[in-house]
Amino acid sequence: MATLILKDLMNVKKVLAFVLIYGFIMIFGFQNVPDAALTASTVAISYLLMLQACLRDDKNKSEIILNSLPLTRKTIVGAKYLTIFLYTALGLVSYLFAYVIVEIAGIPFHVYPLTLSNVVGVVIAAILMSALFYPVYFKFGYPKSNIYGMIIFLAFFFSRGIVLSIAKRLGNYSLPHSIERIIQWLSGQTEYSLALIMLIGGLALLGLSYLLSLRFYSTREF
Amino acid sequence: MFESRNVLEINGLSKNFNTFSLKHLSFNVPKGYIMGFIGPNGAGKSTTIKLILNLLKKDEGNIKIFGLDHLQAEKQIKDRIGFVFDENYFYEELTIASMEKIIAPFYSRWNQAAFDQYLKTFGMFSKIKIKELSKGMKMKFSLAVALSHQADLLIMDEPTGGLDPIVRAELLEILADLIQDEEKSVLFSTHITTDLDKIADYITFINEGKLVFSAAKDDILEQYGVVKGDKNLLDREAEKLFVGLKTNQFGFEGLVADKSLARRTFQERALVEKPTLEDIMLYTVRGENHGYAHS
Repeated sequence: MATLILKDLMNVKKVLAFVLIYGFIMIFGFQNVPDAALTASTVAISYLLMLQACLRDDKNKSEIILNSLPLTRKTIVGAKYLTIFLYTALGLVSYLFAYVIVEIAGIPFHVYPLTLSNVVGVVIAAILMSALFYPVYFKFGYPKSNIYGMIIFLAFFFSRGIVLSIAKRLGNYSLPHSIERIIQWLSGQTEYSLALIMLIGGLALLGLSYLLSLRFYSTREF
Repeated sequence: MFESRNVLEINGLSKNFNTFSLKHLSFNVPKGYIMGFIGPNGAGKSTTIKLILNLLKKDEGNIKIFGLDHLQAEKQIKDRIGFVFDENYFYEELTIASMEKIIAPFYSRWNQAAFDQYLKTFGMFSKIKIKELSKGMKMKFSLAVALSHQADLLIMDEPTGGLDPIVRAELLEILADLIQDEEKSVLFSTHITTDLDKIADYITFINEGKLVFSAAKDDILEQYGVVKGDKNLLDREAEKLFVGLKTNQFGFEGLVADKSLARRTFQERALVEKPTLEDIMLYTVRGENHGYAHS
């Protein structure tokens, strides 16, 4: 599985240099909404790397080679899911790198500090984006899943704004009692507990996504 | 582990598509030999190979490789098989060295020294990108990978298509050397039958998804014959002997599945010659298109 991850990294290496400066671009671009730069940076980089790796696989019809090697389709799917964490980490590193440079150099940009809840939030966003994309990719292949992937990406890229807008609207309505109780209970949790709950929830969804992808890919024909 | 004397056994293999069906295909590849797998374009050769590889799911039948079910022991089997495809499926943007780093760890018997030697023999440098290789060099790289993990079975799907005669000859020499130890076997799928005239021991011929024959090459070439003669020799009874037949104003030329019978029938009046594999394929395919039966 490590070799398959290495394979994807080799295929996206030309993009990695761009990843390093992308954090700066997002900090600059989101000066009016500095706390959105972290989400945008992490989600965009995860998306970019994920799609680039899938594109390379599709362009070279790599399923032929991969399925001629002594490895199972389960391993192929599992490796793609593990790369989610790698790409997300690279997105965080990109933002952190830019943040540190801006702070040390005293560049007059508004930068939002990394907090536990922020980091967990963007990790969840990146994980969910991938969790929604991969089953479609493994079912239909890259060309057919590309547009769908773009829609998912844009939704998560602007997720902070979308979530805040929805929350604001919901505040004008009275919600069902059970949901109100859940929201109240969540509000009473510490930052660490909330982060843990979100992470467990995100990983559970990722697990479901993996099982679905595995089911699709196991029966796919090339 | 028990191993059959056949390295590959295919029984009743069927696969249905909208416009094509592979129908109850059965043949074996004996250990230590080269099996030529021939048929015109669209006959089902690549479909059969994809079914062996589990790239396609079979509708019926079973496939055994090294005596093991191809699905239940998939990983174990693929560790011992080398594949050479008609197209390049390696990552074009990566170098030979990078591709080797990706592929080698999957094989339990990867031989680095052998791989390096093959690169040297084929005149390839590990820092070259795959996309910079010519078609012939890509095929050689594919072969180097297939041979470097000590594969017991080599499956080649139209590997010589688009290659010049020199490269084709080099490939055939390598294959001939490969099976000298009688431990390795080759399934060579092609519609270029002249390659198989030189090296194949057995021939499996399929057409329109059905098996035409699977037998030792020498037996086939002894059994079949090309008959040439005057048109007035052809009557209804004589025509029944032919798998495929063409006539012109000067005479006829056709393929018979029983050369001995043809000799007895026509005696000295017609010329009966040894066919090539190409003759057999051509007349069989055209003969079926024109409504001739074959045995």
